[in-house]
Amino acid sequence: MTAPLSPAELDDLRALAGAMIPASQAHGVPGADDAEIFAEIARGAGTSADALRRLTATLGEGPGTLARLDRETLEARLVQTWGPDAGALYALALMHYYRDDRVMTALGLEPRPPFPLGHPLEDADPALLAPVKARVPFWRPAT
Amino acid sequence: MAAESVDVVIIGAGASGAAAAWSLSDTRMHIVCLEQGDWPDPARYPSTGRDWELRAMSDFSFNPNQRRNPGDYPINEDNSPIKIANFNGVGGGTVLYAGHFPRFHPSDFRVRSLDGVGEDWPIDYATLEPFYDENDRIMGVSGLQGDPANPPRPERMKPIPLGRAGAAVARGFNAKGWHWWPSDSTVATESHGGRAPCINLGHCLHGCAQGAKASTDITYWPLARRAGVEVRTRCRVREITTNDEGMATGVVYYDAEGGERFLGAEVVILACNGIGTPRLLLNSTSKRFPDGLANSSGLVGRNLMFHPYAYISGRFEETLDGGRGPSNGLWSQEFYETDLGRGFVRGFTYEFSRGQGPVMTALSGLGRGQLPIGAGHHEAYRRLHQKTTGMVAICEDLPELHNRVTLDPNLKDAHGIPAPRIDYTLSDNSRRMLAFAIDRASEVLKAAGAVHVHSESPLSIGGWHLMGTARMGLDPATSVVNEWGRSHDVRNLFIIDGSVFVTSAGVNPTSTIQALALYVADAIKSRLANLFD
Ligand SMILES: Cc1cc2nc3c(=O)[nH]c(=O)nc-3n(C[C@H](O)[C@H](O)[C@H](O)COP(=O)(O)OP(=O)(O)OC[C@H]3O[C@@H](n4cnc5c(N)ncnc54)[C@H](O)[C@@H]3O)c2cc1C
Ligand code: SF4
Repeated sequence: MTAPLSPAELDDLRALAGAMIPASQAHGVPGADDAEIFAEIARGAGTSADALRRLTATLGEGPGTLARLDRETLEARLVQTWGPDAGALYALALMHYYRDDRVMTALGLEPRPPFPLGHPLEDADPALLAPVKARVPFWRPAT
Repeated sequence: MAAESVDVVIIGAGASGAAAAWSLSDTRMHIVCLEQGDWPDPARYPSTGRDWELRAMSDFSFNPNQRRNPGDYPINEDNSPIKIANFNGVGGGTVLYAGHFPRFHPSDFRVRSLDGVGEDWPIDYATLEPFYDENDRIMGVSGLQGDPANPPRPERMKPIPLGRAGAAVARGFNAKGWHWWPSDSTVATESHGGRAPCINLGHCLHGCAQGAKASTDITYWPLARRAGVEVRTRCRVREITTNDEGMATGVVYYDAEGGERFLGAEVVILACNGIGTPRLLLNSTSKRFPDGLANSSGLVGRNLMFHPYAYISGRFEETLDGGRGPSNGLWSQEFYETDLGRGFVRGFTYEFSRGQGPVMTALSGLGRGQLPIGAGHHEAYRRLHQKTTGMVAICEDLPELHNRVTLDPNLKDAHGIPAPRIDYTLSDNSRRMLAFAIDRASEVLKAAGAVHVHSESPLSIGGWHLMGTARMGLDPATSVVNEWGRSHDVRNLFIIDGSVFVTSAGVNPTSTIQALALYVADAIKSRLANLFD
């Protein structure tokens, strides 16, 4: 079984999350290293421990050292060495980031589950169907 | 203790098992349905919680090897580019299905005569038509009459709204001068049989918490149970037993506590789907049936057909529907009937695929290389958010002996029962059809205003239509069941799920599976006096 992440490895993961999805004032959103979002990422990180360890080794640093790099440097190194492990950790961050209340609100979405309120959906102009209605039946009879 | 015995045992409580149970219930026979999974609990469906998109990748994934619920069995699908999608519980695949409800065309029953490939069915469209109609009534279908690509349909609930995404795609088809039509769907748009109308949760593929989508746990089963049919859940059948005369005597199953039980039955009806049914037949060996039950033709498990899918999506500049609304909405059958000038035989249906919620938008963006990390991330995400829509192409798969279900020599389920193994290769005809479908769909999406088109083919997650592995036919040498679903070899054994399909057509199969189940049940009822002759 994979050993759980140590505090130093969690620091690495948080630094990676922040480099992958940084906060943006322009868009009014926190980064994936925000405390609440990262708590969710950390909770879901169990199966990604090996990917994190391999990625830390690829980036050439020992456990706990990624957190000491500045965000831009880490981003540049990630881009240079991008591979399946980085992709897996990015997916992990995306899965938790895009269900945060603040992120959803900034995207114009209500931060709630779909049920029970549902959503509106517009009807289209019925005239759109006019050219198809004008066609003669074209299915093949088979007797 | 005397062994328990019933008149009819139905194995599997999915789309077909439920329909047959309801139809047979008016005979007042003692009918028990054994189902390996549980009753689904809509209050626990993903769309009721904030983690709705994540659960689509865990306990509500449509791949059983990923989901691993107690009702699931493992499947070795390493040797198939298309992975199995199913749901094991009352309702079967209908709990997760999208609810697209097209019918076969009349030509689909005459593939050999018309196009020189596959085989003809021993029945035709006219035989099934009354059962299609009856099934539509019980399941509850929305749509629009008058589709020029199809024979006439009975009246249905009003169609699903197209939304902005559907309207965009429809404009694309119109620009090309190609057929499209509001699709037949089991998503209720009005109250129907106690079901509430759709409120556009947009999570139909992971269970409809609203109860608007017709899964058989909320359509056929309440009716069948009220009429006296018993459903036993967490009961996994290991084998069908037979006597010296070659008749089925009942089934051996594991009950909810894991105890081994025998249930005797006069009639055994198999409704375990195109994978579960051949698996059970191959696991039911005896001295008389060393190669598995009902397998004198050697065809049990062979001729496995999926529908190879292509997914084609476009990124637009306008805001569309995102994850709101059912993915059903419209279809196109412009390229359904054979035209050899296209470079392949037979054809396909396009079905609209509306859009995605915020997490899936991100993951798809990652998969397509459209979502960079770092400073550019948020701008890039906003170019995708609620701006993607498209369609799938459902290609007719032709029967080929080498595409098959066998028993894996090593893999077993939680009860130690040998698990199925899938060997499947995509045919050249399918490859050509998929490529053509991608090209034409790209033209539609560009005509609709897409600024970028992406495609995926064959869709690896798309093994949701499971057909052909115990085919129907008149000749016992080339088929497993006769023209009314009875095994050629075992005269009190019936098969009613997608296994009996002779060919796959280019449409989703469930309305045809259920029409066949009703038709076989009707055949049983009308022959009760001499059923085993
Ligand atoms: C994600 C998804 C989307 C889909 N979308 C569509 C769509 O839009 N339109 C469409 O037409 N179809 C769709 N389908 C396919 C549809 O669900 C199936 O065609 C249909 O459910 C098949 O019916 P069936 O009766 O053959 O088998 P199923 O519905 O699969 O039922 C078989 C049942 O048998 C049980 N069983 C199997 N083995 C045993 C055993 N040994 N003992 C006891 N019980 C057993 C299983 O647990 C299961 O409940 C979709 C499927 C999925 C998964
Ligand atoms: S979109 Fe409609 S059918 Fe689909 S899950 Fe929501 S309410 Fe149910």
